[in-house]
Amino acid sequence: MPTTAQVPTPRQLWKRRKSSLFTHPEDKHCAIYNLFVWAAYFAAFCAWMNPEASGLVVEGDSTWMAVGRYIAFTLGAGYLLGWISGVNVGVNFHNHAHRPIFHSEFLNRWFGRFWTLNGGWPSFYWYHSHVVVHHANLLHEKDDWTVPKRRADGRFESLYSYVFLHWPWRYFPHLWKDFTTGRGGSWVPKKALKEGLIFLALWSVPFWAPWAITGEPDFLMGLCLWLWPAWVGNSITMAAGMYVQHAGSVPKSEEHPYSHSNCFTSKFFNLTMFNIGFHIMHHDYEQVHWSVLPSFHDKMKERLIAGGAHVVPYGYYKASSICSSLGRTAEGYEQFVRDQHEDYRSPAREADIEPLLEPAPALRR
Amino acid sequence: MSNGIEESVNGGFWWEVGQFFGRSLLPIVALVLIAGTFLWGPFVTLILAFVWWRVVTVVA
Repeated sequence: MPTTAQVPTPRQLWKRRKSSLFTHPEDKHCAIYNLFVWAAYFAAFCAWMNPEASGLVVEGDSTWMAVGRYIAFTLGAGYLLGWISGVNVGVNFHNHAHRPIFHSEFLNRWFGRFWTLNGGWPSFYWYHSHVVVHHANLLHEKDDWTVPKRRADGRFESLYSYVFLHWPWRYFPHLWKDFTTGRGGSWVPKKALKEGLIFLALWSVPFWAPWAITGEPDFLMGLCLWLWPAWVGNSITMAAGMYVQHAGSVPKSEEHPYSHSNCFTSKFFNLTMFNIGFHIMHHDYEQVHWSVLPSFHDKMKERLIAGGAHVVPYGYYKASSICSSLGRTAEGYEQFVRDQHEDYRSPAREADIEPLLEPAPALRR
Repeated sequence: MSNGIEESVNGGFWWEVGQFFGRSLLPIVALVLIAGTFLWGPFVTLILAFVWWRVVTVVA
């Protein structure tokens, strides 16, 4: 486990900056994760373009069996690719968006452009929607358009509505409006146009690469192993994560200092998801490095308990599973809001639960 | 940083190994399952992907 070390001297910091590629030693894991994701895409493309060797085409198959093999591969491999792409953008690139991982500006820019590609995003667009829109206006009814919409009673819409409607159908009009009106600065429209064009040039590669390599067009590969994973990454992985991060939350206030986000303490989840579960700390101190969020959370434990923070002992996967219980989404939502890590139970949280489930006018936005 | 939480050091070789495979566990498993299609075909990949997703959903 990481331990607190002595604070480095300015000379040590200067030497480290000169000798290290990364701004923080733990950021090497962000880059390694991204490289494994690209390796997985490469393996999938290789399997698709060598169908006899990968068992996608078997001599003597009926038509149904032949189609079935491609559907099985698209569902299995495509889903895996989408899953890791969603984490790669929504968690991993997310760390880079808050604290660029390289000392070099050039590397930050170009590594970032390739980083979000398999998630179906220009890196600048994702930075804008997360940092400029979400973090700067957390849970604001109009200005934070990234979070689920609220029902009349204050609860989030169902997880299914959010999953199927938010990307790209809600995102695109909002991004268009933000970029054409210069939200974030007068330089934004020009930057958005440039980054959009770079993205389109790079993102289109899997659609025409088979033709360039083999001489035969194969648009289907782009649909099954590029567009479908992008949908999975955005609509299932990232949307479900965004939903449970803030389900049952209210905007930050003196009365509710830690009720703007939910905290997830599963060790397995946080190990494989760059500690994104410590979400209250992340929103309150977004410049704190992801690798130290667990120790920071521990230091803040008493304050979190006293402030009525919502802390659960599992991760996003189980939380989204609870909230998406088929035919029981309202009950699942309520169960999730009521769940509380036994070490974090407090009168403040108990007092908050009922108003959160049936918001009083003061809690409604 | 002087807040006492910003600087972390590793806990030795095996801690580093654990961090390497732990942090990138999801894409490593995805890579193995997808590349494994060359060995066991697309239907087994689909089944293994579903089992892996289910395990993670139950654990975390």
